[in-house]
Amino acid sequence: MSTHNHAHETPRDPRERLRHEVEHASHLLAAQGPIRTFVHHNTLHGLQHLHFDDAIREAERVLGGQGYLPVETFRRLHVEGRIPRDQLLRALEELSGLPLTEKPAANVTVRDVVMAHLLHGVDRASPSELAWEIEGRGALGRLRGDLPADVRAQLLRKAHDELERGVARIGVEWTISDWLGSITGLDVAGHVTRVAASGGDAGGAERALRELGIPVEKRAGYVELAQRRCPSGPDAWLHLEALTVSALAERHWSVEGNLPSLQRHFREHVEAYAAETLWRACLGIWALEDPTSPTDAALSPRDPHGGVAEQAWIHAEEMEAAGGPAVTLTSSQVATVQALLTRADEGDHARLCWTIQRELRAAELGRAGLEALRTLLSLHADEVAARLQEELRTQDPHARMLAHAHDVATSLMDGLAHGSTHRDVLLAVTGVDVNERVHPRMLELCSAFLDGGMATWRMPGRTLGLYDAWRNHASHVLDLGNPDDQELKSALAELPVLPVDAVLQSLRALGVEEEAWGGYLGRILLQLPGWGGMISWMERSGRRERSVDLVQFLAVRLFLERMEIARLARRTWHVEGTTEGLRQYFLTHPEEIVVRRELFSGSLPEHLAETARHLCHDENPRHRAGWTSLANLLWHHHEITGGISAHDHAWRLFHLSQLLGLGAEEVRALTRDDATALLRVLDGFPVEKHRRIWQAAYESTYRDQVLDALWQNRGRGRWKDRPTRPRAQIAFCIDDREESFRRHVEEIDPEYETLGVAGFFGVAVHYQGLDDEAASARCPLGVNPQHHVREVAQEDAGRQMARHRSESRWQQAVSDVLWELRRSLVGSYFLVDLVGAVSAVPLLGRVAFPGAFDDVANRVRSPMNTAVPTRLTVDAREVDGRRSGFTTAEQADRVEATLRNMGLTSGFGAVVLLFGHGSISVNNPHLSAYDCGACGGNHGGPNARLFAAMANAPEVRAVLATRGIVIPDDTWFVGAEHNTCNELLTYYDTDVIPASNKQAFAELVKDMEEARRRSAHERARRFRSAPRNPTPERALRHVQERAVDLSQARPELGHATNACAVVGRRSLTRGVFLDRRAFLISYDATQDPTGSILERILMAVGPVGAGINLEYYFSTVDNLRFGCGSKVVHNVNGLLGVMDGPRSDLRTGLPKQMVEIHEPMRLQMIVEASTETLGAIYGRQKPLQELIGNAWVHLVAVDPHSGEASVFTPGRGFVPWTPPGSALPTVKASSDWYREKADFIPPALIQGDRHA
Amino acid sequence: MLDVVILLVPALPLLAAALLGVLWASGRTLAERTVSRMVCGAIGLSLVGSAFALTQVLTLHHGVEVRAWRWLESGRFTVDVAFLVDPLSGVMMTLVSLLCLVASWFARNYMHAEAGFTRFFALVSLFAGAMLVLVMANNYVVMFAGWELAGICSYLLIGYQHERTSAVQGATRAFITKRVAEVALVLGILLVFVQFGTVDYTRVFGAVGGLSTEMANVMALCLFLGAAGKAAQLPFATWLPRAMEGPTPSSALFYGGTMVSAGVYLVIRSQPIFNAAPNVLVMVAMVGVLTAVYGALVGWVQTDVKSILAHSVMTQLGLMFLACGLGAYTAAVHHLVAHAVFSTLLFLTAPSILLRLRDASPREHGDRHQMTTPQWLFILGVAGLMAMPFVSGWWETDERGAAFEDAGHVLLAFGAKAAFGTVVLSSRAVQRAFGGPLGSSVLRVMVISLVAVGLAVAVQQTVLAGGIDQGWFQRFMGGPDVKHGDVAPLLLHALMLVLLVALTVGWLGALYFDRQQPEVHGALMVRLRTLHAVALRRFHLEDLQERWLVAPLLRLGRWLDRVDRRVIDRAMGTPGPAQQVRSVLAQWEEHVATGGAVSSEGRGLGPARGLMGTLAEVAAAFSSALERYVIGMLVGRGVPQTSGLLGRALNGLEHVVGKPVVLGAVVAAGALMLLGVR
Repeated sequence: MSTHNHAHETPRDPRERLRHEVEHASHLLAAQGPIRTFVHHNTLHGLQHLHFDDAIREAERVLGGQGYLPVETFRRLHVEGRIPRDQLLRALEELSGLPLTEKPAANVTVRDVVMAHLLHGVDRASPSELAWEIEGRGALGRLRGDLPADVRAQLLRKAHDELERGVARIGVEWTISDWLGSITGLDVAGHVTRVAASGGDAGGAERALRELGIPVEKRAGYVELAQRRCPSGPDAWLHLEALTVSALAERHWSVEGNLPSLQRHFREHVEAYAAETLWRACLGIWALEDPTSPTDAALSPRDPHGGVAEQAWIHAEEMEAAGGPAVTLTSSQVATVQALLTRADEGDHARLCWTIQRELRAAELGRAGLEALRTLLSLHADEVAARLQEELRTQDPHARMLAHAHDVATSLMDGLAHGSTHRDVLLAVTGVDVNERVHPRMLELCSAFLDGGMATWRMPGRTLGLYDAWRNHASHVLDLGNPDDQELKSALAELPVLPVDAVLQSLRALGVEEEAWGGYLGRILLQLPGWGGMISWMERSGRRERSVDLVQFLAVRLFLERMEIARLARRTWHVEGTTEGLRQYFLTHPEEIVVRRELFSGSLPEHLAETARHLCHDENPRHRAGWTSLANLLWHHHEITGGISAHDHAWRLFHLSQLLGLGAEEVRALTRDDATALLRVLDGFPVEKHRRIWQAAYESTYRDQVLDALWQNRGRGRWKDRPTRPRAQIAFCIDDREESFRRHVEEIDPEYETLGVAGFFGVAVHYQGLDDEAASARCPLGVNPQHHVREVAQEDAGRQMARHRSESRWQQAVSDVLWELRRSLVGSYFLVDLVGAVSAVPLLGRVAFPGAFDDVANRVRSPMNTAVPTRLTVDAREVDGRRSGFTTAEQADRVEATLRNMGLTSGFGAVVLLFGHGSISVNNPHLSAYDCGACGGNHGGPNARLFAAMANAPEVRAVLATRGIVIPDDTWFVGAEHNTCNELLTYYDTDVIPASNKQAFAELVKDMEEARRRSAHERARRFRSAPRNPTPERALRHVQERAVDLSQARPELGHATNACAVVGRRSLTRGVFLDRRAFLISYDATQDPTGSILERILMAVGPVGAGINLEYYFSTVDNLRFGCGSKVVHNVNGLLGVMDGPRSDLRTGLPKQMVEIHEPMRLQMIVEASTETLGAIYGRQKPLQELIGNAWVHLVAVDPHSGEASVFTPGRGFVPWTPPGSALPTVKASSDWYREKADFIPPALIQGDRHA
Repeated sequence: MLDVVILLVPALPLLAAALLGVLWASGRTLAERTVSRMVCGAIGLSLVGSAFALTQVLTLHHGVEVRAWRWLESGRFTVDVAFLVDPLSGVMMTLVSLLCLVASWFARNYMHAEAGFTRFFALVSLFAGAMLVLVMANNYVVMFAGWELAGICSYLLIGYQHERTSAVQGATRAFITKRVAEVALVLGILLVFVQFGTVDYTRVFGAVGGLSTEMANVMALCLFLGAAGKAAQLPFATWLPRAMEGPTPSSALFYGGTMVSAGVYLVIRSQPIFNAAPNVLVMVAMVGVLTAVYGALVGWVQTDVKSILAHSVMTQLGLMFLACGLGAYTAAVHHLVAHAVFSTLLFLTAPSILLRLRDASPREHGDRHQMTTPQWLFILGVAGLMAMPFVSGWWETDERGAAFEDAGHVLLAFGAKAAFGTVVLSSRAVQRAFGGPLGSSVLRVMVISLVAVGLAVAVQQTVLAGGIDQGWFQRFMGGPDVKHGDVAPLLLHALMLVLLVALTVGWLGALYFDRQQPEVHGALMVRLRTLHAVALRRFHLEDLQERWLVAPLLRLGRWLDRVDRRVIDRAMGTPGPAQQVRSVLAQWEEHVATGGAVSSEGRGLGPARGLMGTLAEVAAAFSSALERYVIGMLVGRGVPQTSGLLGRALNGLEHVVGKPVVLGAVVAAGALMLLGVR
């Protein structure tokens, strides 16, 4: 958040300044309101002023989590053919900024290295991972499993050739020990020679040759080689060789140590031979020892792990005994010291020299000796002494450790000024998270205070506001006689009256500098982003029935936090939990801090961790020295594990050369510089940078598919203009889920024209249904409707209405009483006894036979649900001081705007059917996330109904006629609602359809029945629990059952898979199978010369589409951090949201079940308009510049006349797009294309609609 | 035929679980459909078998015992794997297999595409088998085997999402708390054996007559403590709400009433022992009432649906214990069955709470409606009517009732004090629905409550007859092994009194709450606020446990550890370095484990020093390999954090409890107790 520019001057007054900082810090909180009004929005809306990629980097830094899919997923998509290699290369060239054509080493370009890294991954290993890879998973027994077949074959061929060449050299220029030496990287021959020289016993040469399995014809040459190695005794040499080879072969490959068996073994395991030689060649480049080899350099067997550990321990013991680490001296320094010693005098001097003498070993000086030497040097004030003194300082590991420790302690404390909190610092060095004690209190408080009606016994005094209610509450918590509790109580009494003062008080008590407030508070708020976001939402949305805001929240939180920090600091070190108190302690005890930090970050080696853990609980001051010795050991550990190593350098080169197809011989030919240069290329392109490239390639692959489909569909789609009158117009929401429905409608009868428009149909309204308790806003987020419309009973339906009202009241009362009775102590006993056994019926029915049970239940319930014929209060009236309904002019304005948006200004059919949409399912807290986003997370049916009523009004039509839109008298508008979950279609006000239109409407309804069956059929392909290849009827029954199935965590799939938005005439997309992935927005560029309609559409559709798309994007790429995890553990809290289990923050974003089939890619906004028009709009509109210029949404222009596409590239403008030129598959009907396919399907052309 | 069926009932789910475990361990990925069909099929067949066995037993009019094989034999101590089907276990096994079937059928869709799908089903199947063993066993030892197995399943399912810390903490808390309670249960079973020389129910219950009261008290107390742990009664209650971390269907199955009811079952099953221990019976009732009050109060202030349900389950279990404590075992059985079904349905529909509840803004500025005289008269009349049977019945204490008089007063006092909310809530609900002044709402509520309660009592008396002698349910349950509770009238009266007090107090509370501004200060208001605050903190139960149990234990552990290192290590000459080497190995092996597979052969361990060193290392290697296998298999492959979190959570505990000295102390204490008992 530090990068967020402060918009205006920061105020002087501390209170104002604090409020300003809080307001500023709140931008990164989740902006999700109560779950019953779920509205999609960009998860990173607070960072939208940054470029998409920068925003992700910032989010990962501040919020944690991952902003792209994992690299492994991208690699899998590549293997599945979803991201072709050429797209990846193109993205690489455009985005990476690497010198791809340079050659870091012979015949290898940067592109080769980078592509190998991208496609397969060349990663470092830790020492233990290396051990595990090689010994546990046999990495030397085979080549990488993901090698392309040709590379593998090539490597095997090379290995085979090398093997045969090696075998051929035996007896000519190589002995077997030379050969094995070349394979194992050990000096086998040298070892044999050395042992032989030291006088081993001689055996017969013949016998040795037989044991070695040397063929008779080669024996003479072989003996000669032995002779050359050991002129004094070739017999002894050969004998020793046979022994050595036998031991080595047994140890390494478990085979007999003779030529035939070795030869056979390697020929049978060429792959292992290839891997092993390659690995050794890689080690050889840096002359590294193989840490995993079962044989050490002295050719004796070893156990790598026990050995290392044992060594470490011996070192530790020695260090402890010596009182600290010894200093390594160079030979010249040793000489200087020894020279000093020879000048030994009497007395002190002699004693010092004697100590030094005793402590001076081969090349190092012990701790006591060092002290003595220092003293000695201080006695000799000459230049040599001064230089040595200085050298010793830099060489002394203890001093370096202290410097390092000091740095660590300082950087920890400095973090407090840069966005980390006391909690972070203490967590890092004590392993105790104060959040674990603060969060339960905060969760309790927020849930109890903000509860929307779940608790039976509500928190008292909520009208006072969060802060005061909490103060009252906290002062009533029982005192258990803890000193902590008592302290808490007395501190509570000292809290100021104003919450903002309380925040200031806490910040001062903690010692947070004023400059650091913003970062500090932001970090604090992000500890509970869900609740913080909810409070921030309530504050902003003005729902202030309970006074609550972030300052109050922070006042409580900081108070609790500072109490806990004080407690922890006091318990651990007896210091105050303030910045100053901690700083003092940290800087005076840096050894303790550095060891603690490593211990609690989990990177302390286990043999030190045990001791460190004990020290943490050791109160005895005599044991304080333990920290220093541990810190020294730790430093020693760091020093020996740094530098060039097998697990880093050799291991990566080993994998890289496999991927590049380099054999052992070619690797041996590399110089050390070549190899380092190759690795540097890898370093310059770390995995974090890969994801951006992959993402771009993923998106452009899909974009090209869609653009290609649109290109090939040129001139095929019907109703580009309306030469004849369509049979009917059917308008849908722009929702991607309606794409399939529209396609099926058109396939049923091409005479239908379908249109797409934002699902509130341009009538923003507060709507209150017959049974609703209150009105809700039916319009996109950010629009504040000025009109109220209610659903009321028709005048002649008073009797039904009265019955209906009394029925629903009784039902409500009974269900409420039951709910409360269940929670009462005594009532529940009888209730359970009474209804317990009976509830077996609904239990079994609803779980085992959801569909049938629902039918029966509806039939039983229907006599108790009297239907009431209703009307909407469309026309303007004044009701209870509020404006109700619209005047004729207002109605005409809205109807005109919507018709013009759609381009429907002439050629009206006999019926214009308008479908709003919504979704109904059971057991689904996220229900409203499936509803119409354009209606604010509500059902859109009422808007459609309202629009139809307006458009049918003769006086409205009269006004419209004066404005150039003539709606014929025989055209009738009908509002309807499409339930996207169970495909139920509800038509409104059918009783007022004129007789002349009745017939047309009846036929239309029949076709819609067929369309919904087909729609259900297409949707069923993506449901795993749906029957395979069902009939349309069966599929429809399945989706209906799904909607009432308690056990169904995926009643429908929502916007999953949304990927593009097409703004333009339907003729552009009609006849293309877009697989429910496209928002379709009707817009006719030919009727909009100035671009003003388009501007209006883009300003509405851009943010809405991006909001949906980006929420799905982030919930998919990191469901745990940006989404809300799996539904299976969700727990509804306070009617506000869900949490995981009984104790967690409110979870925001989408559940895993909603996004698991989603393909996270940014929205491709394809607009049928000229680049000039679009450019002009882009230049005028800041919000669009932010969305498109920062690449949160991609923009493509399709020319309305030529159909040519241009892709907008930020910084470069519109770049013409060239079609790839391969023909798209054409099918008879949609169902032919999707049949038997359950996963992603690319676009195809549908034949059924070939009309020009 | 019947014998085979009875044996198959628990065997089928266990077999299915074992099969899944083996297939899964062999690294095969199974189709979801295969897994769910296997488990649902096995449990479904168990259900059919259970129902068949139940009808057979009811027609035969006597229990059936089936012996599978001799499990343990040591001197005169023999344990058979044998099952007893009588009306009680028949009802329980039908219930268990029915609910397991429902939950696993539900999970088919609900758990689709979860990473742990197979694990979930394997555990549910294992749990079904375990519960069936528990309820069908004919002796305490076999029952205990099922008891433990069910506990382990519960542990693994609470920690289902092992990547979340709070889930692992919740799982560990549940596991440890129940384990502590089980120490008592084991002691109880030991006592049973020591006393009777057998653990078979029939032989034990046949010999109860010869038991001294003191002995019976100790024995019943031990059994009850175990039961209370399982059923989340005070003081063990804290684990249940924290156990809501698992997937919804498993919460429904385990905590909706199946597993937690095992505690009540144990008491009902052991009723002859409890009947011989009147003091413990009083305690059972007390604990039950206290828990019920605790659960109700804490439940009222909860705002999330699963915590609400958890506390209501706790309350109901408390009421069942109350019934047991008052000797009305049959009523308890009836309540157990009814509650299990009811509660499972509530858990499964928990996510739809948003559809059922409407936003209710708190009515903190209630209108100051004055009660009219007729309304007061009406209320008084109702109160009088309700008091009548109680007044007439209370003084007719029979010989058993006398024993309960003292306890009864306390119980009722508690019940009265805590149950002041029944009508508060209902009146608010009704007011929400009908609007209008509060007074009329209260009237409406009184009508609804009266009708409901009257209906309840009537049904209780005539149809269900849960607490009444010779009711049909009692006759139904009245097989040869079940004794009639002879204190049922007292139960009824006690409950009536509680009900009366609850209604009046609650109604007064409702008036007070809704009519007064919350900011008004007054003694009652302040006290109620305290009660709210304390209820929200769950009566500080966790804090108290932390302070009086965990903290001292940790201190003890650290102290012992220091003694271990400073004194024993040095005295024994166990080399520090060798241990350190082992911990390095452990670190390496952790990497192996997190890598997802297991190395094929035991490797050379670091240099061992002496026999002790070698032994220690071999043991360490063996146990770590075992741990690796077991944890790896149970919790899923390739999940690096799993073993980490579980391991760390367990490690902390092991650190304390795993000290040889602590274990030794526990064993010694147990031995001393046994000796003392003899």
